[in-house]
This record gives sequence, structure tokens and C-alpha cells, in this order.
Amino acid sequence: MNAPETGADGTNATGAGAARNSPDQARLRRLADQQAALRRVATLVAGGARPAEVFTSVADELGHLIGAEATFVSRVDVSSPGRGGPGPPGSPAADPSGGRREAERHMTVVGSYGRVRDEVPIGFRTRLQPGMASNAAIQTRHSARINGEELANGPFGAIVGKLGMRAAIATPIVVEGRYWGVTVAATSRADFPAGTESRMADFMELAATAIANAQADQELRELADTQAALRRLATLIARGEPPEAVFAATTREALRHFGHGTARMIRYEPDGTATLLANEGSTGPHVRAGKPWEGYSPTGLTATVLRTGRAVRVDDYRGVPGGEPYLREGLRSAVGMPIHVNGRLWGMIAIGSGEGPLPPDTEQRMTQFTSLVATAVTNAQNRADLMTSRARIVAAADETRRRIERDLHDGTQQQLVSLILELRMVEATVPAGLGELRSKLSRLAERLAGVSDQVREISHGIHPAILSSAGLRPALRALGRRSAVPVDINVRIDRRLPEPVEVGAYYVVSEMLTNAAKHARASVVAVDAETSGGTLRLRVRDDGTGGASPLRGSGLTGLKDRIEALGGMFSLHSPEGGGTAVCCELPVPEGGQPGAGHGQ
Amino acid sequence: MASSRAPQVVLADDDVLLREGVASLLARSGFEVVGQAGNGTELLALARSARPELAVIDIRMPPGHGTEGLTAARVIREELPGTAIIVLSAHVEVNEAMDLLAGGERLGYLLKSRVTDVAEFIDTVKRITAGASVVDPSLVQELVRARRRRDPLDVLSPRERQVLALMAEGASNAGIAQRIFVTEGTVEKHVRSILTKLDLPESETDHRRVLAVLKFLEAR
Repeated sequence: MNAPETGADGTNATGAGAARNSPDQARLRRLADQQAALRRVATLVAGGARPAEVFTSVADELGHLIGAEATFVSRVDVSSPGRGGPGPPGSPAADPSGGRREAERHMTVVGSYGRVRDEVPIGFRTRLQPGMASNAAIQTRHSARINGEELANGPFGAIVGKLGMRAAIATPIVVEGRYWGVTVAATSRADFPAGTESRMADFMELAATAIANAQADQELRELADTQAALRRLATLIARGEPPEAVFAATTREALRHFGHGTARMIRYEPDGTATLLANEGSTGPHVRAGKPWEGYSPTGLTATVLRTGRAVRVDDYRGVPGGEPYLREGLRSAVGMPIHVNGRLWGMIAIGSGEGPLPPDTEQRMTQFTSLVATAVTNAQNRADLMTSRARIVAAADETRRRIERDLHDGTQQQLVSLILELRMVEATVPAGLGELRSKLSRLAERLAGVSDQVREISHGIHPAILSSAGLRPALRALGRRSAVPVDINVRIDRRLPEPVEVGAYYVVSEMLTNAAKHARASVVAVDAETSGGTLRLRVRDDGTGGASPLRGSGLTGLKDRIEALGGMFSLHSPEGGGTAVCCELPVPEGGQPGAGHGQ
Repeated sequence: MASSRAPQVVLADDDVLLREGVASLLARSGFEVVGQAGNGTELLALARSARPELAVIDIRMPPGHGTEGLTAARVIREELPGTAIIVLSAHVEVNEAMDLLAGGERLGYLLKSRVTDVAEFIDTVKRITAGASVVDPSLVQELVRARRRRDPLDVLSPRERQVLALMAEGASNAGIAQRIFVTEGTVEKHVRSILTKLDLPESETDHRRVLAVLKFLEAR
């Protein structure tokens, strides 16, 4: 205990009064240094520093404490065998025998200090292999030291040689009882002094709390980030945005969260082909968004996901036959996630990385994205089905009205006119002496004529023939003339529109005129209709009492349904005392036939 | 019209019963029905071979049940300009009326149910055959009654409105005088006043007057 320090201890080597130091004093000094280092790290964590800063600070402090010129902190993850479906042949993850595979460990540098900062930067990822101190530390769960030839000839030989390092120690980092990662320290001196392992272990044990906090912080941040992305996508879906917009947005978010190179969405078509729906990130001549996705490798992601319906990963495209295009665009590894819609394989999201294999939890984290895509697709399909069926219902109702009108016109009304004519002839043959009979017949004929007029009005109300024969403009003008409230009509449409659109617009105006006269006590109604850019815009507004609500079960509800069934937009603005206005927009094909049957 | 010979008529309507009814009505009223057709194509063939003085045509016929009668009327007017034409329709629409009357004189556009008011119908048919252009009164009523915010018709007296409507229906000054029980001179005064107030040009013929008034009423 009283023997003076040998001076081999790095912490005291620079001490001017080394000779005066008792071992107790040296231990106290080391403890104080360690406490000061930990305090600085803890202060960083408390200040909300980013995890990378915290990890770098840990590496930095450790380097100072043990006198190492290079240190780094890395996370270690284990890819369990069997995950990720069949690895492509030749890739590191592949097992040609198809049997059990060894668990693979990768480390990812999260904090780096000193000379290794350029050679082993943050984000550097590599597989743990025999001959690495890190590998030994993780396997033995104790600090491991490598030096001399073993270090120079090991997997890091090139870097070690370049930096002139001669000894390295790796210490496992245990966070909350689990092996979280490993820290590595290296020196250009012949070796670290004895006892360095335990000092590293002591420090890292204490630093683990800071790492755990920083880690938790990062996970929270990532979670919040992911949640925000998912929320944005869910909002797009809920708004009923076109599926293409959802596909593009999802692919963009997937790249931001998981990819280090590219993200793609591919749809499997019923005919066995595939379509590239969206692409973000790196690209190549084989990448044509919106076009068929062709020429992919039969052992690559697209084919394997299609075959298995499961998540698939490629850890190294160099081992995948046909993987050259991906290598050329700078990709090294990728993960493909199936998208199932209503129990059927619909497509895939693939993300690619230019670096080593993607983290093992990639598949699990991506499922949230793929299920959102599935929801969007299901929604879009349901919406499309709904639109089609609504349009069919409206068309069927219109067809029924037309048929009733035709039956009334060609049947009932014609027969009435025939009957009256016949009655008139009978009337004409009544002998002169029977004046009373003659006048009775005459009154009968007149009453029948009244019935005929009523039938004409009814059939016109059911379906105005002029709409079919002459189109919207004359039909709206006729409607305006028959309105009890004066109407200013301005129709700038010079062609015939699809019948459902003409009928829909007609009923909107008709209902609004009825409303203006019956309920709104309006003094004037303005009707504006025009087509431009594939859209019919219809505006009807009155200066009446307002307060009309589609909720009150007026005819306006039916109008909204009808217009929306045609894929159009219907909005009602009717503040109490402020008049009633309806705006509709209906999609119409561009061009079309010029208007026919216009009187002017 | 020579009184010695009955004017020859062709009829077109796909409703046989009604067609026969109108045929017998016309036959009893001094016309000779020389042929009947059930659609536009048959009508054209018939008109070309019979060259009648008058064609009475239902506007809505097979195959489309649209405005086939109007189309046939246009062809007949072009090929046989001497033939008077009456188009009957279940609904009267101003664009159809103007479309038809643009073809010239001796044209009529009437509600189908007018045939049941036998005496007046026969009178109208005779007027058209003799050269008048006639528009159904219910259509004119619709045009005159249409409510406008700043109505140009407001400058007319009630009597002038009445005269304007009769002008639109195709009545001559003499016809108007007879209808409203005034002298023809009085009618002339009303007509001049109306034309001045509405800034309408003096028309050379009753037919042109009908078109001008219809156009004015439609556009107001």
C-alpha cells in the first residue's frame, strides 16, 4: 500500500508531483476525475443534448480518463436467424443449406472520439467478427484486450495500421440489465497499463445511466417522429386524398425513417406484372415511377415478397444475381415489406441502404407504415365502389323517371287526346234536338282536356323533355321563365354535357327556384353556369331569408347526394337573413360535341 | 286556296289511334288526307311522292322519341318549300318554335292537345295553309308572363301586352282586331306604339313579326 505508483498509470503519468502521490491519493484523484467526467456527461443529458453528443462525450471522457487516443461507443444488435425470409444466395445472411443460422451481431458507432473520428465515424456499421475486441467483449461479457500482431492483422487492421494504434480494449456496455453495446479504446503506446479494463468497466457502468437516459430520449424522439409521420399519412387518408398522393407521401416518410438510400412502392397487378407506384431517393434507368417495374431479379425483394407474401431482406446485393442495377445506383442492402389489402397481397414497400445491412427491427417498425398503406388502398377502393354504386343508383332513378315520363307522354296523354277527339266527334253527331246532351258531352271533353293538361305538367315535372333534346341552356331558361321569382340566368356552356351532369345541374336549379319562391321569399335568383377546364361550375343564389339547412330534410339534401354521386362538389351557404347560395362543381369531359338545338 | 279542290294533307304520328282521329277530323273539315306515316323516314317518302299542301307532324317519333318531327319538317321545308307544316308537340318550347319558324312562312308550332278544340284547331290549320305562321298561345303566355327584375315589358299598357302576345302567336292586324273587338286602325296604332316602346323594327310580313317578337320575348 505504501509503495509509490509505478508511473505506468496513465492518469498520473503527467502529474508533476507523481512522486509525492500515495496510492490513496492517486485513487482519490482518479475517483475525482471520474466523478467530474460523469458530471459533465450527466449535465449534457440533463440539458437535452442529442444522443450522438452524449455518446461522443462519453467516448471523449473515457479517452481522457484512461489516456486513450481513440475511443468509440457503439450499439450492438443481433439479427436472429430465420428473420427476413430467405436471404438471397451469397449474401452474408444467406445459408445455402437452408437450415439454422448463427445469430449475427452488428455494431453501429454512435459516438466517436479522437483519431478514429474520421475512420470510424458515427453511423459506421459493421458485422462483429472473430479477431475484434468488440466481438470478444460481447461474447465473454467482459472487457477484452487485443494488441500487437493480433490487432494489426485483425479485421480493423487497415485502420489500426493507418492510425498507428498498437493496443485496444473493448468493454461491454450494459444498460438496464441488457447488453446494449460496446465501447472500444485504443492507444498508440505499446499497451494500456494493467487495470485499465476495470477502470473502463467502472466508468462505463456509471456512464450507462447517462446512455440509458440519452437512449430513452432518442427512442422517445424517434417514436414521436414516427407518430407524427403516421399521423400525417392518416390525415391524408382520412381526407380521402387520391391514393397516388398517399403512396408518394408514404414512400417519402419511409425513406426518411428507415432508408439510407431509397424507398419504393410497388404494386402487384392481377396479370402478374408489377408497377412502380412511387420512388424516393436514389434512382437509376430501371426506376420509372408510374411505369411497369420490370427486370427484377427472381431472387430479389419483388419476386420473393410476391412468392412468399412475407417480409424479405437482402443484406448484400453483391450476392444477388441480377442485383447489379441496385448496386449501380449505390444500394447495398434492402428490406421489402408486403402490403396486404383485404387478405390479398397488394404490393410492397421496399427501402434500400447504401451501407451495411438495415437494422434488424426495420421490418417490425415498418409494419405501421404498410398497414396505413393498406388502409389507404382499402379506403380508396371502398370509396370508388361507393361512388360507382351511388352513380348507379342515381342513373337508375333517372332512367325510371325518363321511362315514367315516356309512358305518360306516349301512353296516357296520347290516349287522353284520342279520347277527347272521339268525344268531340260524337258531340258533332248529336242531333240538333238534343242540345243538352251535346253540351254535356262538350263539358266532358273540356274536363278531359283539363286532365290532359295536368298529365302534361306532371310528366314535364318528372323529366323535362327539353333537357334531353336541347340541353342545359334552353332547359334552364325555360325553368327560369316558369319561376315565380325573377331569375337572372347566365349560362356559358356551348356544348352538350353528359346526361347525368345536365340532369343534376337542372335539378339543383329547379330545387333552388322552388325554395326561393316557397320558403325564402326571395325577390331575385341568380343562376350562373359555365364550363372550363373539365369542370362545370354552377352557382345559384337568392336574396331571401336564408337559413336553409340540408339537415332539415329539404330537397337540398337530395341535391347534395346527387352531385356527390357524380363525383362533384356541393356546398350550401345559407346564413339566417343572408340569402341562400349553392355552389356545385362537376367533372365533365373536355371538348365534347357542340351544342345542338339552340334556338339562337 | 282554290275552293274547288280540297287541300291535300299528310299526317305523321306513331300513335295510330290519335293519327286516325286527327285524319278523320281533317277529312270532315274539308281536307283530303293523302297519306299517313309512323316515323320521319316514312313521312319524307310520303311527302316527296304526294307533294301535299300541308303536313301535320308529331314532333316526337321513333326511333329516338326526341325531336324527329322537327328534323323532318326542316327537310320538307328545304325540298318542298310550298308545303305548309304544322308541328305538334306535347310540350311547347321556345327554342323549338324559333328553330321551326326560322324556316319561313306557313309554319305552325302547336300543343298537341289543341286538336281537341276542334273548331279553333281547324281555323288555325286553315290560316297556316293560307300563309300565316302560328305559335301556340300557351308558349307565348309563358314568354310574356315570365317574371323579370327590370322588365322591358313594363313600359307597355295592359292592352299593348295583349296585342304583343297576339302578334307573337302569329295573328295579323285584322285577326287581332277581331279578337279584341277593336278596329284594325286601332290595332295598327297599338302595334306602332309597341314597336317604338320596345325598339323593335317594323316587319314586312306577319311571319317576320312573329320571329322578331318571339326573339325579343325570349331574350328579355
